[in-house]
Amino acid sequence: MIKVYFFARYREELKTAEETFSEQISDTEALLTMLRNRGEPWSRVLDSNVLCAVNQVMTKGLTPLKDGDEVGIFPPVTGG
Amino acid sequence: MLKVSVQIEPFDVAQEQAQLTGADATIGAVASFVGLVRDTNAVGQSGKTDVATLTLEHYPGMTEQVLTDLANEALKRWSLNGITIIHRIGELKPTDPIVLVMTSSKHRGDAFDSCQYVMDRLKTDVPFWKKEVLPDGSSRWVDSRECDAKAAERWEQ
Repeated sequence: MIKVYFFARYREELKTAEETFSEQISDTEALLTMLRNRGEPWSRVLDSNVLCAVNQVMTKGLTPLKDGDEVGIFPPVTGG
Repeated sequence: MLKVSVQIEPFDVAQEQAQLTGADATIGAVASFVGLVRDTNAVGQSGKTDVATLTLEHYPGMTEQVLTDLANEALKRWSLNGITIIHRIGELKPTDPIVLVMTSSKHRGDAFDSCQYVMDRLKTDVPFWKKEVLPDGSSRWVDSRECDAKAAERWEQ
């Protein structure tokens, strides 16, 4: 099981705060591809700027996923 | 001394400084940065002042962890006595203080540099997002800025 959380603009535009996947997903790129393949609005909203955190640690590039992982999907941050 | 807080409440700079330095007489320098909410963010180019409120969203759990990692990285890179990072969340209005980074050290160089380092990295690495609400009730998410990424990059070794 993989738990996915969406934040900020993505959460609003996708009208989804969280989603749980019971199927196996190999890595973050596979997860994003699967989500974008849903078509509108997913394909448009999850643009090339998307950031992923796995178990609350920011990732760079493709990151493997395993059962029990928590994935955060969000746009570039704007704090400070 | 390492303090990290993500909070709705305002912070008191004098009180935070007293807490950071305490009775440690080896401290000769305290540098602090306070960020305030501006009224012209996403439309800054037009010069219009039309931000009614700013709402701060974050990733609970991850935010605190990343800020703590950032504080520890600063303690490793510079000779510091202590560091305090406070970031507010929830609804804020123009002129409200939103972020505080305060560092203490024996001499000023370490305090100055580490304070700037933490702010630069905070802008690009910590999961906070700003949403501006306009007087007419409409809202927009603030876009990240290229210059923030550049400012953070210069600290990479």
